[in-house]
Amino acid sequence: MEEKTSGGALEAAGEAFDWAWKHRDAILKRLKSIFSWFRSGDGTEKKPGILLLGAGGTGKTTLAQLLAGNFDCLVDPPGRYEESIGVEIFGLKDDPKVEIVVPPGQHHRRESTWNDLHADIVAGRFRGVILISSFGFHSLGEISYKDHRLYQGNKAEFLDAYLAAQRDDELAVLRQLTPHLQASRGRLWLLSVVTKQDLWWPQQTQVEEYYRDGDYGATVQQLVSTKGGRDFRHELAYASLIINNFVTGRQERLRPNAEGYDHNEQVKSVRHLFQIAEALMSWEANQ
Amino acid sequence: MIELTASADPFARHAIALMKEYEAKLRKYRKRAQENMGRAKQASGQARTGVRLTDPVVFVRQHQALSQQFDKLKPAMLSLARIISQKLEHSEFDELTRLELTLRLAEFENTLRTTIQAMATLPA
Repeated sequence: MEEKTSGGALEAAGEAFDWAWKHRDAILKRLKSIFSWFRSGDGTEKKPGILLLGAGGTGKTTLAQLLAGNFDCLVDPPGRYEESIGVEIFGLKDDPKVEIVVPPGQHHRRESTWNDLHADIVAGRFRGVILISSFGFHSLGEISYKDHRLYQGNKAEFLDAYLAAQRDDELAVLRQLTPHLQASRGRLWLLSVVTKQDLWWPQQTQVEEYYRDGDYGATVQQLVSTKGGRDFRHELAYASLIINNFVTGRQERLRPNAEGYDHNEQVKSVRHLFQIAEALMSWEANQ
Repeated sequence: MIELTASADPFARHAIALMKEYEAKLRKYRKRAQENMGRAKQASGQARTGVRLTDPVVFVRQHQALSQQFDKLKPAMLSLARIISQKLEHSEFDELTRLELTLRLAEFENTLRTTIQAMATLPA
C-alpha cells in the first residue's frame, strides 16, 4: 500500500530528528536537570515541592509522568483515560523513594483532598503550582456522552455545552486557588498549562486570548498585580502531551484531533513547555 | 429485609448494592492479609530467637494465595469505582441520592485502597 504523505513534511521531520540525534547528549542533559528539579522537594516548608492541580481529565497524571521522566510522549502510545481514584502517588522509575502527588480532580473528591493542599500552599510547603486546563476538553471516563446531564439529544450541541461548562469549571478552580496563592508565604510561581492543543488547534487565537486576556487571564493578572513581581511569577504554556481524538471511555468520538496538527507541532509545544520549566528553575535559583 | 437505599434511581440502587457487598468482602480480605502479616512476623521473631513453632514460609505462601485471589477481583473493583465516580461527576441525581453515592463511594474506595496496601505488604 502506498503511503500518502507529503514529501515536504517527511523531509522536515527527518531534519528535526537528525538535529535531535546529533544533539542528543545535550538534550538529555537538559531534560535530566528538568526532571530532577521537578522531583526535588518533599512538600515541607524546608524543601517545598511542586503541586499539580486541575479539574478531572485535563492531563495532570500525564504531565506529572512527563515532567518526572517516566513518560515519553513522543514514543509511548496514548493510553486510555483512567480516572485517578483518590490521591495518586507514584514512585519514579529510577528513584522509587521519591513520590509525586497528584490530587484527583473530580468534584466529589475535591473537598476531601484539595482543602489540605490549599492550606499547604499558604504554609509554604509548595514552591510552585502547575494548574492544568484544556480549554474544556476534559476527558470523559467510563460514561457515555448520552448519559451526561448536558445531553439533550444532539451530539454537536452536547459538545458545545460540555466544553463551555468545563471551561467554567477551570475558571472556578483558578478562582478557588487564588486566595491561597495570595496568602502564601515566600516565593511562589504559577504555571498555567493548557493541554490538548491537538484538539483546539484551529481555535489557537481564541484560546490564547482567553487564557491571556479573557476571564482566566484577568483573574491571573489581578493575582500578579497583588503579589508583585519579586516573589511571584506566572507563566503560560500550551501543549499537546498526547495526540488523540476526543473520545469518551466508551470509545464514542466527540471530536477528531485537528487536521494539520502533526508530530512536529507536538514536539514544538513540549519543547516550549520544557523551556518554560527551565526559566522557572532559573527564577527559583536567583533568589 | 433492610433496604439498602431509598433512592428510586436504578443505577444508584444497583451501584450502592454492589459497593456494600464488595466493601464487606474487601474488609475480609484486608483482615486476612493483616493476620497473615502478624503471624509471619511472629514466626520470624521466633526463628531469630531459635524457638520456631511454625515456618514463616507457610504464611508467605498463604499470603501469596490470598493475593492471587484478590488480584482476580481488583480490576473489576477499580472499574466499579471509576464508573460510579464518572456518573457522579457527569450525571443528574437528586440531592440525597448524590450524597449517598458519594458517601458509599468514599467508603468503598477507602477500603479498596487499604486492602491493596495490605496485599502489597508481604510478611517478612
